[in-house]
Parts: sequence; structure tokens; C-alpha cells
Amino acid sequence: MSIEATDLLKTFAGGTVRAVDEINFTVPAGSVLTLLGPSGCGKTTTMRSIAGLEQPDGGELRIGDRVVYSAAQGINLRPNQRRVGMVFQSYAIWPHMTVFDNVAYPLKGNVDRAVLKERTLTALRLVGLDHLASRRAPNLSGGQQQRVALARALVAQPEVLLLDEPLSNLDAKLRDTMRKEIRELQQELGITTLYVTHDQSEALAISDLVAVMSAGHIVDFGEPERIYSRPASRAVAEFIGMANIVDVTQVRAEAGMWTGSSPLGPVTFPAGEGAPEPCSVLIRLEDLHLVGDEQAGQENVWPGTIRSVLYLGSFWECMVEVNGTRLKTQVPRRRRPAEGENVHVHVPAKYLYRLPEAGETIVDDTVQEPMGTDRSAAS
Amino acid sequence: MTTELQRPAPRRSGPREPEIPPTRTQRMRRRLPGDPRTLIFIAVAAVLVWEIAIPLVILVWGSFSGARPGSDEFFSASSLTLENYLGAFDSDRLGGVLWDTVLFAVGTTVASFTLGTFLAWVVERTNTPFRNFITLMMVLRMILPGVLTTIAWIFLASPRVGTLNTWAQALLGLENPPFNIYSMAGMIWVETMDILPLVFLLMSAALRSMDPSLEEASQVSGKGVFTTTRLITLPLILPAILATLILVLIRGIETFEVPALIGVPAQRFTFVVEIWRQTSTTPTDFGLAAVYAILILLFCACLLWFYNHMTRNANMFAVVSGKAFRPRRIDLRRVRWVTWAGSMLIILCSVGLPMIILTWASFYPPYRGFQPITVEGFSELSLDNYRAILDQDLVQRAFVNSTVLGIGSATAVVLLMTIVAWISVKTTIRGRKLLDSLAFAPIAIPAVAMGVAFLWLYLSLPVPIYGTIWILFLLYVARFTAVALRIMAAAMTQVNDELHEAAEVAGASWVRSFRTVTMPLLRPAMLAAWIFVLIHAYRELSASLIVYSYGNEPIGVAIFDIWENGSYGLLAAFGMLVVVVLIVFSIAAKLISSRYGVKEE
Repeated sequence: MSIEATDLLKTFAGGTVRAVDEINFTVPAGSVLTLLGPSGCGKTTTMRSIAGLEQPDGGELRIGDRVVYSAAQGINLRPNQRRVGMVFQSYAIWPHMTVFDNVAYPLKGNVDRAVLKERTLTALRLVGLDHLASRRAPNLSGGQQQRVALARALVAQPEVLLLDEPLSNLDAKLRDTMRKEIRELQQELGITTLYVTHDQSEALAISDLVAVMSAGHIVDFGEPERIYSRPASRAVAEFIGMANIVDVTQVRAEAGMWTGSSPLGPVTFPAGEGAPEPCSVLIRLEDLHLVGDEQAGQENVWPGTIRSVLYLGSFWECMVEVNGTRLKTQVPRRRRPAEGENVHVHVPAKYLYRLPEAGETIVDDTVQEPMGTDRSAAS
Repeated sequence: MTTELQRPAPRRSGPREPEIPPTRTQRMRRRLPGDPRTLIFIAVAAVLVWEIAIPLVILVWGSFSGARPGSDEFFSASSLTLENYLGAFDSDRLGGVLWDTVLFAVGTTVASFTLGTFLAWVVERTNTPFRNFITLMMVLRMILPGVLTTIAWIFLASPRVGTLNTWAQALLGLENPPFNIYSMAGMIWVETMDILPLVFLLMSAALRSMDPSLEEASQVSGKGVFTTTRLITLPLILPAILATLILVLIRGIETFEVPALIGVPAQRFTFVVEIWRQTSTTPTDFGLAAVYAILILLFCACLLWFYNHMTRNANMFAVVSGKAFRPRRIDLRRVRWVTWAGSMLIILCSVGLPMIILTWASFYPPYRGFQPITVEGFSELSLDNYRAILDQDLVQRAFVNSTVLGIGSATAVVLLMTIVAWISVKTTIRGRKLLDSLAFAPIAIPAVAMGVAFLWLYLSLPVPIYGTIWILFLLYVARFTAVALRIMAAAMTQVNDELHEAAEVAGASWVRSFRTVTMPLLRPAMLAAWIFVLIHAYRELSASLIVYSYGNEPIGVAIFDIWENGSYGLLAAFGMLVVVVLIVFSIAAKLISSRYGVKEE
């Protein structure tokens, strides 16, 4: 079952605040779409509209071939008629019931007792909680509550699964585990899933498709890899992962590439379409590395000074100042950088990404590394 | 997202600090007798024991004593006897009083809970228009003194001159007046209107503080509104419902105004009225009054125990969290005009009609007595009553007395209860739970019983307090500790310990950090509690009626006096003035607290 939103509009405060501003998207059957964005961008409102917990002010929503909301046709199914499973941010585990009763709840009155028991236990087994069935709900840990909420959302075999920031109340380690578990469960069941989060790494890890939202609009839509390496705008680039963004002027074409001047010095990057013009380029942290002094003067090699270092376990995160511009870079953990050290930084020209100007469409031609290329050989 | 902030910060994994053994001074600190905390605990405990425990002991003693309080034999063991109890249980009067009290209290509880919960549901959970107006009217009704609204209903529905009766007779051509306020039904109706705002506030708080995602999860699970209400909403707010029912039942048992003003002429006597009559009208029977007081005290104490049990359960369910939830409303479509009409009818009965009739009476010429509202009567209206009250010695005196008593007791109670709340919530001093229970106990002590206990205590003691305003002051302090404590304890729980600790770490003594950090954070709550006590001091009647003496009458007693003298126009004008003053207080409180509230955030 796919989920399809057409011109979905939801306003608050008497129409003055357009929380969801006529957005369009489709979640293909069996895949995971993540709505990603900062608080207040409209992602939760969108999800709640699909669940039927908010009544939109315009547009249309379909689940599979059923119209569940349509402003034009005057259709608005109640939440209990939409056949969705939902995990709430607070989990909303009913405190006056046992784990079993919580999970069995969606089945009550719809199937006979034996089937209810069988299916509830199956759902609990699915999340690995069958041994806690008779436990009272308030006596559960965060991770267990999360699993109960997941089992409850899945027990009635809904057409689609909605997950509203399901991991934000868990501690970091548990978050990683549950992220993997949710993804595996989704793949196993092949259920169409809409996922809401403000955590970009979570979004990239769990989704087939990501929709980045800002102020009620979808500002970028695509596969996680494309969104990360070729974001649609400067704002998206800054929101998704760590980014260095450099403004380039006096751009000219040269040997199939474009070259221009920037605060760093001359910058060479893959050519765009049409005539060369001033633009901004994105340098991902992990693409920028320290090189030996002997490479000074080569293409995209700039001299600088390390201003600060932060040890993050698997690598060092350094702030390198080049001509007054600060660049963030990742340094392998065995090459111990020191503050005040004079270094050269380098980024291969093909890894630079020219950020599209407003109105420009993005071409999805993500740079694929040929197998076996050793990028660290350059350093 | 907000919940992100509530997640406990991950433990920083660094090299572990070596544990430093506590120094000698640190270890000694808790046990030192000079520790200010211990001294404060002892001082506060002593005040509470004197104010609450001792009067109760006197009351119990008096119920076993054959001598009059104040006489020399009162405290001698030889005066002890079971005669009071035997006499009370032997008399056939007890059965009648018990029956009337139960009928009145239960009837009031059922009626006010139904109407109040309906209003709370309309305001919190539906899209009925004019919801804010309903809330405003309930808050207004909360501050109207019960003695005034009771009198207003006598004006409205007494068989002979009740406006509702004369109108109904004229319009419908009835031969007999349709309403008789002097009946059990009349008593229940008037008291229901009086308790309604309390039910409304408690139930709307319960409805508001419930996490709506608990209900949404049920709806998403495929259940309709009815099933969701039955399986999720009701079980979750059941503790709140029971707690509300118990509080309202206690109020119904200990209330005085309606049983005294309507019940006595109707020959329906409750325990509270009996206690008052046995101590103030000859022939007095202090022993019997004490026995009755002990009986209702025991009953209310049982209810209170049950209430504590319920509210503890409510906490266990953790439904009542301080979090602000986006209200989830049912779209009633066209039915919302039905709920609107129902709400407006209730508001009309509880606020509209009493205020209209009081206004009318206050402008009606004093020499005509009270007459129902008529078209011709409008030409006779004048300001005579308002002019007259300004000349009245009693009225001026009552205003001064109540203001002094109100400000004095509000200040004392709030300071005292802030300390009690702090001891109970933030310290580990042994005995803090006992202190908390002691300060909360007055909620189950009927005001009249408290008045009797104070009367006897200060009649028996050789301190010159009886006959002065001080006995009223001490009585008011004892009367209002419970609610102030609840407000302060709730606020205290909200103040994170770490704020106080940070000040201590920064080098402040605990007294200083309490004064500079905890107190300022508590200021809005202290102000709210202060105004609450002040307003209730202005409305106080039943306890004051037992212990007042000539010259120190508070407002409630003065109104009661004027009523007995039959100066109805004067009474209405005086009442209107009191209402205006109380409204001004509430608006001031609202303004100040919203200003402080914003600042503290």
C-alpha cells in the first residue's frame, strides 16, 4: 500500500500559520519515507494528518487506493477507520493495562479470543517481549516501552506504519540498536512506513527515501545518498550532516572543470551546465584531509593552521583556518593533530559539489567510487 | 522536541574521580542541634501542633467531659464521663440528623458532580462556543460568598415572595408557587450551585493533564470515540473522579450556610447546624455538640484517608504530568449548540439569577422589605441602600476586620506552608510526613468543629485571647493551611533540586540559597496561595460565627447578622460591595501572577 499526499494543507491560528503548505509526496508500497526537519517544520503535523489525528485544511490523502481525506470530495475518515499502525513519540503506553492488554487492544472486539491471544503473542515475539506479557506497563524500561508500542502498532496488520520520532526518548546506544531493529522488522514485513525525525543520521540510516522539510515545505526529496552528497540547497546541505560551504567568484571553464577564486584560494570543481557563474560549493568534512607540504601549490591544496581539535574516537575533528576561513575536517585517529600546527588541506576536485541556485533542478549523478580506490593514498 | 530535553544526560565516561572520604564537619552537619534546618523544623512543628493538634485534643476531651469548658472542673479527670456519647446515641434525634446530613451531602455530590463534569468536558474536550466565558463564570462563582448566594436563592425561590414563583404563577396561571426553597430539594439545589465551580476546576484539571496521545493511540488502533472513552479515558481519570467525589462529599458534610439559612426554617438539620445550635442557642449542650463534632470528624477523616489513597494511585498512573498538551477537542458539529445552551442554563442558575436578584434587592427601597422583581418596581429603585451602608458602623467594622484578618492570616499561612512544603518535599528530615499530614488535616475538619475547638481552648486557657480579634486570626491560620500547603507543595516539586544545589556549590549557605534561588522561583505560587487565602478569609462564616464577639465581626458574620435583623436591602447592597472587592482582588491576582509568571520563565 502506498501513501500519497496531494497539495496537503494544514493551517493553525485561524489560517495565519501554514504549518503544512500544500505539499506533495508519495511513499511507494513497501518502502520507508522519512520526513526530516527541525522542530516546527510541519513533519509531525503531516504525519498526524495521515493518521487522522489532525484535520487538514486542503488537499487529498490516499492510503493505497482508498481516499482517506479529500477536501474536494468532503471525505475525512476517522483515525479508527484508516487502518494504520502508529508509534507515538511518548509511546503512549496505557499505564492501567498490562503489556499483553496494551498490544492486544487493537484486536479487541474484532477477532475471537484464541486468535487474539495467538496474534498478540506473535506480535510480542516479533519485538522479543513475549516473556513480559503479564508485566504492568509502567514497570518497563524505555526500550521495552518502545517495543510494546511497536508491537501494538503492528498487531492488527495495518496497511501502513507511522513512526513519530520513535527513538528520541532513548539513550544513544539503545537508539542505534532500535534503529537497526525497526529497519529489519520493516524489511521483513515489507510494510509501507512513514517515519518522522529531526535526527539526520537516523533518517539516512533507516530510509529508502527522505523528504527534508522546512517551514511547511518539502525542500528536498530523494534517496538518502543523493540527499547527503548532492543536497538541493545550501540550507539542506547545512541541515544534513557537517558541511563546509565556500563561496566562489570569477568562475571560468577549464579542461572540463570550473575554476574560480575563493577566500581559500583557487578552487576547482566539476563543471555545471551553461556558462560559468559565481556559486557556492559544498565540501563534506570527510572529503577534506591533511596532505604533506610537498603537495603545496597543487590543485585544491590550501595552506592553513589547526585552530582546534576534538577527539571523537574513530577520528579527530579539526578546525583548520585557511586565510581567515574556518574549515572542519576529519583526521584519521593515528595521525594526531596538534593545535597551532601548520598544515595543508586538500579535497579532490571531483568531490566538490556545486550547490544549486534557487530554481535550478538537481541532476542525480552521485559520484560513485570505483571499487578498490584508496582515497587515503593521497594523504 | 521538548521530550529531548527531559532525557537524562548520558553519563560522561571519563576517568573516575577518586572518592574523598567525608570530612569530619560534613559528617557531623546533619546531627548538629544548631543546624538551622532542625531548628526551623521544630519551630514549625510546634506552631502546627498548637494550631491544629491541641484544639483537636480539646475537642475530644470535651466530648468526654461532663463539665462546661472554661469551668475549673473541665480539665480534671473526675469530670470524664461517657454520658455525652450515651445521651447522643440514646436520643432519636441522632437518626434524623444523620439521615438529613447524608441525604443532603450525597444529593449535593451527585448533582454537582454531574453538572460540573459536564461543564468541564464541554470546556476541555469539545468545540462548544463561548468556552472561555464558561471558565470565567466558574471562576467568578468560586469567589462569591456562599452566604450571599444562599440568600439570593431565598429571594428567588421562597414560596411567598420568590421572584421565580411569582413569575411562574403569573405566566402559567398556577395557583400554588411551583418552587419551595425550604425543602431538602431546595437545599441540595442551592448547595449544588455553590460546589459546582470546585468540581469544574478539579475535573477540567484532570481532563487537561491527560496525555492525549493515550487516546489517540486507541483511535489509531481502530476504536471509536465511545470505546476509547470506556476503555482508556475513564479508567485513567477514575482516580481523579473519586478524589473529586470525596472532596465534594466532605464539603457537603461540613458546609454551613445552606443548612443554617434554608435547612433550619425547613426543619432539616445537619450535624454542622446542630453543633452550632447546641453551642449558641439556649439551652446549650456543649457535650452533645462535641460528640457530633467528633462523629463527623471521624467520618471526614476516613474520607480523607481514602482521598490520599486515590491521589497516590493517580500519581502512580503518572497521567497527571505537568506537561502542557495541545487540547484535543471533539467536533460536535450542530450538537455544539445544544451543549452551549445547556452550559448557559447552568451558568444562568449559578451566577446569573443570584446576581440579578441581589442587584435588584440592593436598589430596592429599604422601607418596603423585600419584594419580587416586577415591572412597576423599577420606578421605585434608588441608591438609598448604598447610602445607608456607608453610615453603618457594623459594615465599616466588618470590612476592616476581614481585611486585617485576611492579610494577616494569608501572610502567616503562606510563609508557614512554604516552609512545610519545603521540609516535606525537599528534605529527608525524619517526621516530615507527619508534619505534612498535620498541616493537611484541617481539610477534613469541619469549620464549625474547628470553631468550637478554638472557643473551648481559649475559654479554658488563662491567656487574654478570647474576645479579641486574635482568636479569629489563630482560627483562620488553622483553617487555611491545607489548600496553601497543596499549592506550595506542587510548586516546590517543580523546582529542580539542582537549582538549589548549584547555589550551594557556588558558595551560598543553604539559607541564602533558599532565599535567593528557591524563594524567587516559588513567588508566583506564593502569591496565588496568598490571594486564595485572602479571598477565603473574606468569605469565612461558620467558624467565625462560633468565636466572634461584639466589635470584631468579620464580613460573613455581619451579613448573617443583618439577615437575622431583616434589613434585606441593606444586606444586598453590602453583599454587592463585597463581591466587587473580591472581584478586584482576583483580577489583581491574575494580573500580578501572569506578569510574574512570564518573568520567572
